[in-house]
Amino acid sequence: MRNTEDIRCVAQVALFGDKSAFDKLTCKYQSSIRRFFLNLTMGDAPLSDDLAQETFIKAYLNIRSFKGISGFSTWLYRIAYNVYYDSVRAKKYYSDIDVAEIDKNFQTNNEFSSDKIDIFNALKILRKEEKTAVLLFYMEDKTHVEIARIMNCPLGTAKTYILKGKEKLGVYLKNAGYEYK
Amino acid sequence: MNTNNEDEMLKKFFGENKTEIADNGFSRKVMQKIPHEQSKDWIVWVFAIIGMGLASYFAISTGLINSLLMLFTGISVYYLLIAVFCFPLVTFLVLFLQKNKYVGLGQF
Repeated sequence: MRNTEDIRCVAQVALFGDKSAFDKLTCKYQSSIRRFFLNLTMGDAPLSDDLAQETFIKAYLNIRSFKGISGFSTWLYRIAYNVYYDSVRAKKYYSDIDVAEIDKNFQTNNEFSSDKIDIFNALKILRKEEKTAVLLFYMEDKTHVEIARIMNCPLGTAKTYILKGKEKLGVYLKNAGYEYK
Repeated sequence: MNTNNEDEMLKKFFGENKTEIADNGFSRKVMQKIPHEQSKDWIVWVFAIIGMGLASYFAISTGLINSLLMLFTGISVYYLLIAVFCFPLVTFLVLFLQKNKYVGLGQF
């Protein structure tokens, strides 16, 4: 489905409340949004599905605020980013608990965890913002401008997050003996 | 390791770990949780009826309908017959020209 088709679906939802048009958009973007959350939550599939569901419901309720200046996908990632950081802020209450230790002891087991352990370990060394920017750039193929829009930060800041994340991951993968070529 | 190599390495690393997640009923769950909105079609009908009512009121009160009827009754029957016969002829002519235009474009 091209971008123009996205806009057609959005118009159908906004003007006529056409749920089947929104279903098409959900089917198209569910994989990328769930993958984005899955990587941000270090493989917690139930949590990432809940966050993805919240993202799509918020998108449906606020679809009239979509101006079409950026693509629908960028707008959706912006909502996803806000949903994720809202959930992180909500969990700040538990910040005294050693989250890393809990992760180690109660590693979430799901269909993705066995073959994704490397990427989750690699992402753990990054700061939240760097992780988000790197995932959007390398995993979700977003441009610097789109990332700046999603993260609501200046373009230079988004570039810095990617650069710092890239440097850290480069060193980590090199030390972990990751074979490039 | 230079920046380009690092870039390529990360692209490869993330590419290897990029998986498509099967829907497995996720979209259906989202659609079920979407709040039900009441249809607003009735607004269109209300405004259409109000508009038609106002138009009829002004047409009758200003005598517009009477003058239109007078105008039509004043036209010669022959003119009306010519118009009725010409209408399909003009329509067919336009359709014929349009068809030829598209055939012509198709040759390029």
